Amino acid sequence: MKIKVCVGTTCHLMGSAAVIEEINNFPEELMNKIELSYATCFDVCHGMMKPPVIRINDKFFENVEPENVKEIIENYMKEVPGAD
Amino acid sequence: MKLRRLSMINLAESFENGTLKNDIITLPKKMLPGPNSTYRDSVYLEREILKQRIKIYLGLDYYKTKDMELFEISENLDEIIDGKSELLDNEKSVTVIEEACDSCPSGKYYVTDLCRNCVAHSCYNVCPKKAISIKDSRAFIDNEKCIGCGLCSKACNYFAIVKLERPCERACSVGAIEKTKDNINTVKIDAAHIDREKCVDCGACYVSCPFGAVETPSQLFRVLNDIKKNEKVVAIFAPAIVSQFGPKVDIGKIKSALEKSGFYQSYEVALGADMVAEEEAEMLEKNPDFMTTSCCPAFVNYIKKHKKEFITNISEAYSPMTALAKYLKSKDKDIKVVFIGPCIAKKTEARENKYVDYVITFEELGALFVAKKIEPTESESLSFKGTKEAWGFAVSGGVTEAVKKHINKELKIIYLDGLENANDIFKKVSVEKYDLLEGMACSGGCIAGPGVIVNPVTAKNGIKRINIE
Repeated sequence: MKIKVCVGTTCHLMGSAAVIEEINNFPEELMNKIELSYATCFDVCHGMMKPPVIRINDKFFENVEPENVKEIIENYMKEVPGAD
Repeated sequence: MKLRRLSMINLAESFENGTLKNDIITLPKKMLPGPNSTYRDSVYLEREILKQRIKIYLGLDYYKTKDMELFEISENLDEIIDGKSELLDNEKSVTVIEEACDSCPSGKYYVTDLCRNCVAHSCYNVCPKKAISIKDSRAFIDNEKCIGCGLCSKACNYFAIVKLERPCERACSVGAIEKTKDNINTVKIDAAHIDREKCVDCGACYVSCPFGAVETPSQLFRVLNDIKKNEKVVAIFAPAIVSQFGPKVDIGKIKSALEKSGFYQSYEVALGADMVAEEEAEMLEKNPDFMTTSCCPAFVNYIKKHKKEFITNISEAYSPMTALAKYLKSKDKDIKVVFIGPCIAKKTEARENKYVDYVITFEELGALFVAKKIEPTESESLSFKGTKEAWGFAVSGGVTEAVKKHINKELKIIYLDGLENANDIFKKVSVEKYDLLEGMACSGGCIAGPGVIVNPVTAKNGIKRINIE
């Protein structure tokens, strides 16, 4: 699955760099299912979603933190089978 | 951390919209609508603390304004952001918000519930003050008698006895932050208090407090205001800025983002670093005496307050920041110079030398970009200068590398990497002859300073890989 982490200024200030580090430290079997890239602002943050924002395939997730990113990804994989 | 950044962004956005005077009064309620608290016991306490933070973000003196309500501040707002108000903090770079301080227990030892009420009672036997007794099937330490020697903790086979330490006290290498001795005038009994005679402004307490009770007065609004008034505000940014804004933002993009934000010009302090490295190399050639670097203001303050016998050994060269600011002002005396960096101690240095008008951190710059809707990732990449060694100033060991390039003879060098090592290093230099002591108050160098917004490891890689055209 394609995971894009926003590294625009607002998301970056709210901690997207820590999320990227956490994803890079995932166990190998999970990493093999992920295609990670950085994205410039998705423009969903002003008023609508709470940064840091990530995008898995075509779905946006808000308020992503190192503590919850793994859960968010695993829940997505359960809900959308064949996503990897 | 997030609350601090969100508050700065909200305040900066209001300023840019021209609505700060009104917005400031309602900001605490807007950011903390309640009714449930987010991170403390009550949402009302959270709001009160946020009010104190807001005053500090405007650059106000906590002690002069702590009893003022935000509507009173709003009435004085114009004077505050013009720099004319008497309520501004013109002396301190770090300050404790007493309401936010949790008065954490410290100085004594405490028996946790890992205690198994063993038969040996090594703790009881080893205590020199007979402070330990057995109560309710557990060892118990009487705080009145405990002198904090730690022998009980070392003796316990279950590691059940822990030392109670305030994170701020542990982080401070010079013993400058302690329980207040003035419990009559504070709002919080035993709140942390900074002893200004010892404090070197390194910002270790600011970083370490898990309650965010230590803050640094900000000059962000002075900068935003001067830009709005179309003053010639020149931004000079520290080498530590590499990688601070994420993997897609290189220095060239930061330069163009700064110019789009309304800064008249932007310069890399690496240029100042090249000037200084040459000067210090010359001094070392001519003078056989032991010399310390002078680019880290917290390190310089440390010598001036705690190792006075070495004051004459401090390099007379200006720091790269001051050297560049002085040079720029000699070319155009109408400019205002803002230093953008990872450092709190630079605020003190700027106050003392008058060439630099304002100091802001990378966090504050981030808030400025967001408020002005400037996205560095989308800016074009301008070219920039400075030798690779000059950019290396931001990492421990970098200054020395730069100086070595300009000097031919062999030097005996010693590194002070983090003030926690200061006592050991100064002991060494008092007994052995060294040529140069490179002093960095933050372990790892400026990339590990209190104002950084990325992991120092990432920043260090960024500096190593820097590609200068």
